[in-house]
Amino acid sequence: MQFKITEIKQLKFSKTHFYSVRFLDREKSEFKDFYERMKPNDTDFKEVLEIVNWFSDWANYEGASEEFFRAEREADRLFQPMEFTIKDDDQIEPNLGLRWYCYRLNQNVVILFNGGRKTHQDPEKCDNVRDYFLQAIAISKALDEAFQYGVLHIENDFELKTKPDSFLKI
Amino acid sequence: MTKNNIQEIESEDFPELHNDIMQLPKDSKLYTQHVLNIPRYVKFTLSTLGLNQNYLAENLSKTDAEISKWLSGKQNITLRTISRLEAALSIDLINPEIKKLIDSLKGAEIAKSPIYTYPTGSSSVNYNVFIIPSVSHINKNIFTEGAVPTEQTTSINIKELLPY
Repeated sequence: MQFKITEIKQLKFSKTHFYSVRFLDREKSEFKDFYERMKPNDTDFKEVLEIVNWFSDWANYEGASEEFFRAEREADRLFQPMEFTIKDDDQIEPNLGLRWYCYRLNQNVVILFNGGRKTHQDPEKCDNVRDYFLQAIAISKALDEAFQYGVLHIENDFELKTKPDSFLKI
Repeated sequence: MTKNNIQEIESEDFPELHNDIMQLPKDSKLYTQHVLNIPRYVKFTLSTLGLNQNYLAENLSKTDAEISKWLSGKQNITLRTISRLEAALSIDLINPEIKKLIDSLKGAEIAKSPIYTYPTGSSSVNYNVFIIPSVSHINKNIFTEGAVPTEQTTSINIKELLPY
């Protein structure tokens, strides 16, 4: 599957610019797909908005420091603080919170993928996030190669550029 | 579009995002600010006083890893922890006016850090007070109201912030 990098106009901050990816056979980016899938559920959507509000703050102040992310094999995810607030001793299974996968290139550039609410410790056993987890890993590997071979590069600290007629694929 | 052998990437407009964020409940906005601002203020205080995380680890009988978790915002800290941090650094972390101070700190240059002695009954408590010169620019969270740059020198006295 081929994909392109997509700039998100509303997520360009003074220290970090956020991007997403769009598969060529789809109309919207993975970021937009995630956002719109979460919207019908009030709990999920509120958490998404809290995460956006959270990263829009540090994206203007510290930039995308490693402390705001956690590694998910070759990919990353936003390490939002909200997951620590929803622990409930009465719950049979812990609420593991939303997983929003991404690729942190450096302090200035983050590429947002898809995600979902994690319901099992092992993401590959979670019906909600399995596909997005594996997709994030595959995209991240492709991005690593693209940067390594110059298919993708950064200009002016924040701007992602691609070679003409080049494509990315997983 | 191709220019100088470079291809511009595509762009996605997402106008509803701003409106959605503005609908976020106030407590959610405040929570995300606290999660970031409390560690920021503790780190700022350590830096200003020439201390590092080891100081906190030793004074609070915690490991460096635990302190690091607190200061990275990766662990939700309790009121007990906040109180211990306040005691160790002689700062006030949960005063409602602290947000104004944090907003001022963003982009500010710190001139000096004198110690203010605040008497409380028979004993006294020393609070660290930071004098903040002109704030030329504040990186404002576009989704958050209230971050206002100040053009004049701002002096924040902890005494004025205390409720008693």
